[in-house]
Formats: sequence, structure tokens, C-alpha cells
Amino acid sequence: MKFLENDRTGRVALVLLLIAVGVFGALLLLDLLMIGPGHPPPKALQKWYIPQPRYEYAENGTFVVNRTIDRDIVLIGDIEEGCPSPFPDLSRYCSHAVYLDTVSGDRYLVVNWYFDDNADLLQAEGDLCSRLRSSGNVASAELILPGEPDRSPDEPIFSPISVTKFESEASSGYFAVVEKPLSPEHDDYFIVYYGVFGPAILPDHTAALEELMLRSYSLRGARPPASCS
Amino acid sequence: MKIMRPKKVLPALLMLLLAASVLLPIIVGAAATMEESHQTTECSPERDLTVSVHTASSIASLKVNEIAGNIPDFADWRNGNVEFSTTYYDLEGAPAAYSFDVVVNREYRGYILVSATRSNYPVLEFSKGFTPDKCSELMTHSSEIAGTFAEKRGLNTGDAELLYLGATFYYAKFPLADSRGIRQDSVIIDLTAPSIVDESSTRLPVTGDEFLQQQQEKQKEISALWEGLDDQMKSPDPTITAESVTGTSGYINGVPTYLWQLGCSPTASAMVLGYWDSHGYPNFPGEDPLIQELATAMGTTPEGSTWPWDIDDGIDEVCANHGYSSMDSSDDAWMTFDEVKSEVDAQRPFVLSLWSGGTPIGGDEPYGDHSVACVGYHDYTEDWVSIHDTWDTQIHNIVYGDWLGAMATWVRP
Repeated sequence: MKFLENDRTGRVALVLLLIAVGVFGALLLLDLLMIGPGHPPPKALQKWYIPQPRYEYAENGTFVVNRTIDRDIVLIGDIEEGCPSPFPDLSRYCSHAVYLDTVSGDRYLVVNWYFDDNADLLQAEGDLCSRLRSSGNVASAELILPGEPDRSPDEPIFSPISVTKFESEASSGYFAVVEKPLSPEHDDYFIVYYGVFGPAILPDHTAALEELMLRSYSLRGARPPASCS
Repeated sequence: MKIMRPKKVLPALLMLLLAASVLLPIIVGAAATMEESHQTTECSPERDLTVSVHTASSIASLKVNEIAGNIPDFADWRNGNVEFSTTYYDLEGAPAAYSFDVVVNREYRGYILVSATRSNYPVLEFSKGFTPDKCSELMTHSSEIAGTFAEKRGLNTGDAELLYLGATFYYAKFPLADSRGIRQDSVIIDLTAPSIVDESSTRLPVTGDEFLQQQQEKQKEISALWEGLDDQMKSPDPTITAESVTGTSGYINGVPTYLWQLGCSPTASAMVLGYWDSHGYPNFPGEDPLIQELATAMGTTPEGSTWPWDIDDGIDEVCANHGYSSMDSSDDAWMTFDEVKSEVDAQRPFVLSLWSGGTPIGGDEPYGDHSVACVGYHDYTEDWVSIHDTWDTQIHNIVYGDWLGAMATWVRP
């Protein structure tokens, strides 16, 4: 009798174990079934704030690249990996692109540094600001972007963004830092620069630079580099 | 907590079954050896599957033109020549792949890797960069690691044999010999991040009937690709121009390219609705609010993940919110390439959700579990789907079937 009792207990334990394994397996499978997040890799994020060309199909099925970013501003060449002179290699994930205003002939530069760690960002901000101070004038500034092109009519007008103004012989423009713009759950940090090549009166180019900002990923919540303010 | 509606239980169970059938072999896949796979083919008639360098060179020429004509980033490869560069081997020492330099006007423009055996896909990789063995720093570092390993055992290293064990898996195998020059052992170094690798970890776990069945299906696909190539190679001029090898294509212009926000599924879905916004359904909001609304409707997690069966519900909800209750979206976990073609031909972009999605053509990062917007197809010797992948504004192509599982969410007005 005792043997049977033990046998029954064993069976119950076995059934319970199988149920537990089944439930665990189902939960594991359900978790594996979720789609996403599909977060972009660093190679993509190093170009995130650089206005990109549009691609369309031609009649014969090949591609056509539309390099016009906005009205008269066109992308020259491709988005290049690496930081252009005189900007420092703050991150191994850095890209830049050059744009031309086909009417005025002015050339604009957008640089994007990507970081996946807040400590690296803070370090980079310090390095950047000391470098900027040694090569030009640094000041705080505020930009009011006229509204994102695709915002809905009932959405509030884009709030002003605080940036760092930089003026030098080589290039003048605006620096901004954006933290976790893709998702508050993901560590993505960016330092972005929108500037004009060569010595220039910056206010004359602010409208064009703001257009480039509007054609890039949202700068909502941007702030100036900490050590520059 | 969100409760699954009864009408969703069956699709969910079907998807669970699908996932189980493809994922279980991997989860439980203990390291069985390659011999098992050989045993399964013992009864097959013997056939020489080796591809000669000459044939591979012709394939590389053909494909370079095809790539130049269809991928904008590689347009500068048009009329490029190929020059044989390197032979890579498998773990058994048999040729696995040949790399060819792509040269345009005497300038190096990249490489294309062609399989050295008909048991693998004809074109394995192509890129504008360099194979890791072309980087002298990586090779030197690898030699040093192998040298240190050998020294500790009182052995010497010989000349490395380059191995290719699958996309991005480049290794160097150094023979280890004693002071008399007699080979005693070998050490394998991963060239991409120079370090010693355990040989057993480089072998694929092959076990389970479903996995073997999948492999057999894959082999059928590979055979079909080679047969298609054979036909092309019989052409009097094997260096066929891009125009003559375009096959049939379908494409949809006007699908916006949105960058990732809040999750791939709401972003991909927003691209599809963004298309309809400019094609007769103009009430949808702009990019940011549309993605936000879709993420909420789909119950996308704060990390950006979405239950697949909530994608169509979310799209339906958002359509209804903007007065388009007649718009119908539905999930299809059993889509076929013919369905993809007919949907694209009907000018209806759709959401394509991938489980363990592969690397796009010319890319270097696999998609994994990812939703994209499908905007076209190419029916060549290889079938491709054209997508907006939420990672940039380009149109990318991925080989149809280069995933463990896929689900289409059709969006039809």
C-alpha cells in the first residue's frame, strides 16, 4: 500500500513538474514571439540627425536618389563616416554631411556624434567645449523652430530649444545635445552640430540651419553641451 | 493587463505553433555534429557540388552588374570588373567561398563573395569595405594570439588557412607543429575580433526533424538558385548587363521613410498609413503623432516591442479614429512570395514582421525581430523584398525567406 501511495505522490509530482515546464516554456515562447523593439544599430544612429536623401523607384525599377533636402538646399555627395576637421573624434560613431544652398552658394555642415553611454557623453561634452573655446567663440543661444513639417494642426508649436552658438574662422553654427530621443528606455545620446563653412555672420544663416534641423530627427528636448553653458 | 480577445486566440495559437516549430529546435539544439547531417544525405546520389574559380568569377561578374542596377549605394559598381582574391575554406578543409575584388576604372570598390559549393547560396556577401583578412592589423594581431597560444604549448605556428563559416564569420586556422615540423594541433582565431575560438562552437547545432526539414527546404531553394544561374551562364555573353537581368520587379512609390520611434511596429505601420494619407485618405496626422497613436493602440511596450497579433488591431483602431472604419488590416503568418507580389502590384504597402530576420543585401547588421514596411519585390534568380527598415531613409532589399518566421499585416482600403 505504501508503495502505491509513494507511486501516486510521484505521479502527482511528475504531472506538476510537467505543467510547470509547460507554463515556463509557453511564457518563454510568448516572449520570443514579441516583435521588436528593432532598435537601430549604432551604425545607423551615427547618422541619425543628419538630413538624409530620399530614395524612389524610377520607371525601369532602378532607384533615383533625391538629394534635395528643402527647396534650394541639396546634399553634396554622401553622408560620410568620421568627423570633419576641425571637429574632434568625440565618439567612434561619428558621421557628417555637406549641403549646398544652390542659390547663395553657401555650404552647410551637419555633424552627428552618437554615444550609447551617458558617462561617455559627459566626457565628450567636456572635451568638446574645451576644444571649442580654444578655437573660437562660444555662447548660449536659443532657437525657435517654426514647427515640424509633419506635425498635426492641433499640436502645440515647437518649443524653443537651447543650444550652444559657436563661431570660428573655419565654421560657425549651433551645437545641441539630445538624450534618449528614441525611447526613454534606451541609452542613446547625441551631440549634433549644424553649421556653415568658413567665416560667416551666423544670423544670416540661421534660417537655413533651422531648415536642416527640421529635416532631421526631432530635436525636442535638446539642450546645450553641459560644459559650454 | 491586456486580455486577448477570443477571435485572436486562434491566430495567436497558430503563431505560437509556428514559432515553436522554428524556435524549439534552436532552443533545445544541443551540439550535435555535422556528421549527422552527412548521414541524412548518405542515400542521396553522389554529385560534385564544387564550384570552380572560373565559374565563380562569371557569377561574380553577373551579380556585380545586377547589384549595380538595383541598389543605389552600389550604382558605382556598374561595368565593374572582378578580380579573384582569396579562397576561404570550411572546417574540413574544403573550399567554402571565393572572394573577388570589384574594380572600376582600376580602383578597388569593394568585394563580392561567391560560394565555392552548390550546397550554399551562390552569392554569400558583398560590400564596399574589405574582408577582415585584408586588414593587416587584424591579421598581425591574430598571428600574435596564435603565436602566444602555440608558445605556451611548446609548439610553432604555420601558415594560416582562412575560413569562412557564414556571414561575417571569418576565421584563420593556424596549424601548430612541434620542433620537428610535425603537425600536432591547430588553433582557430576569430578575425573580426581577434580571439581564440573553440572549434566546437563554430559548428552549427543540427538536430531535430523540423530543423532538418527546414534545411532540406533551404537546400531546395539553393538548388533552384543555382539552376537559375546555370541558365543565365549559358548565355553567349555571361557578363550580362544590368538591364538584361532585371527579371520582374514591382514597386510602390510614395511610401514615406520614417525613422524608428517608440518601436519598429508602430513606425513601420505609420509608413503604411502615411502612404494612404497621400493616396486618398488624408485625415491621418503627421509622422510623430501618428507613430505615437499607433504605439498606444498596439500596446507597444516602453522598450518598443509589440505583440504581433496587436499590429492589425492597432492599425484598425487608428484608422477608425480618423474616420476610415472601412480600412481593413489583417495578419497573415503564412504569406507567400506570390502574395507579396500581388500586394505590391496592387500598390498596397504592408507591414512585414520578421523573427530572426537576416541581413539586408549589402548590409552588415541582421534585423532580428523587426517590423518593416514592404514597398517592392524583385523576382530574380533570387527573390527579394524591398523594404523601408526604420533605420534610415534608404530602400533596402532582403532575400525572401531570410528569416526564421515572418508575418505580413496587409492594410487594405
